[in-house]
Amino acid sequence: MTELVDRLLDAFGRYDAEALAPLLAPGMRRWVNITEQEQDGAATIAHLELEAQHIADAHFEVRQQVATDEGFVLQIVVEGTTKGGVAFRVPACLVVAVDDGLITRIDEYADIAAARPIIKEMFAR
Amino acid sequence: MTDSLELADELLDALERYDADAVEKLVDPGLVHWINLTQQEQGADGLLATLRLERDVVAASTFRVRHRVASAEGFVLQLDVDGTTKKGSDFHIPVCLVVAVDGGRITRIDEYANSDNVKPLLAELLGGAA
Repeated sequence: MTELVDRLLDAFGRYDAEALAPLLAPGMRRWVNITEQEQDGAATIAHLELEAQHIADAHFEVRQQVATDEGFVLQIVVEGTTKGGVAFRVPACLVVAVDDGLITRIDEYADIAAARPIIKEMFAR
Repeated sequence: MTDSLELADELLDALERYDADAVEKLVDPGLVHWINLTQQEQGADGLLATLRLERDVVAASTFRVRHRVASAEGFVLQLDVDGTTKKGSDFHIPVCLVVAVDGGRITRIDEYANSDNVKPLLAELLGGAA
């Protein structure tokens, strides 16, 4: 489990969609409280790729990681700067389900107020 | 971990009733409550005071458990809290509680929510100052 956590953090930390893809089970679902929408593995990877296009630099701090009966919970703080020069600091909680060594579900919680600098640049018209 | 889920159910029951006295019996006196919206910590007194304030402004609410799972340190509760304030504002708040337990008592709660969802409730809690 620790290796999977490390690989996930590494993939997120480098915004590396190619490193993320092999960690996800077919049929994987990601749900985010900000939108209350679910997306599949392909959309999760595409989202990371989109973030990568708009993040100049970022540092991931792990506040806590703890195993659960279904996988693990990660509490992280992502601090960085967008390519537009806006600083951000986003505490986030990821509740992750794992089956047979692959991630089957991520429930992600964050505050839109903290994520707004990133969202604004990702979806700017 | 089964005991943790029983404690999770007791916490949920107390929160649903906004029963600060019941929550107090479940938490360690040294409890730390952290919330992402403020990124601040508070102790048990602060948590209970917030719950009492919420009880005063919420007319009706339901707590739906999206997911609950035991962890190596306690449990995780993912809830949807839907309700109406006494001034008639509706709210819908998905919230995640990462809870640490020691000796059968809750020692830490890390709470995550989205500020857009809590605005109706916050507005009344702060008397319109939010």
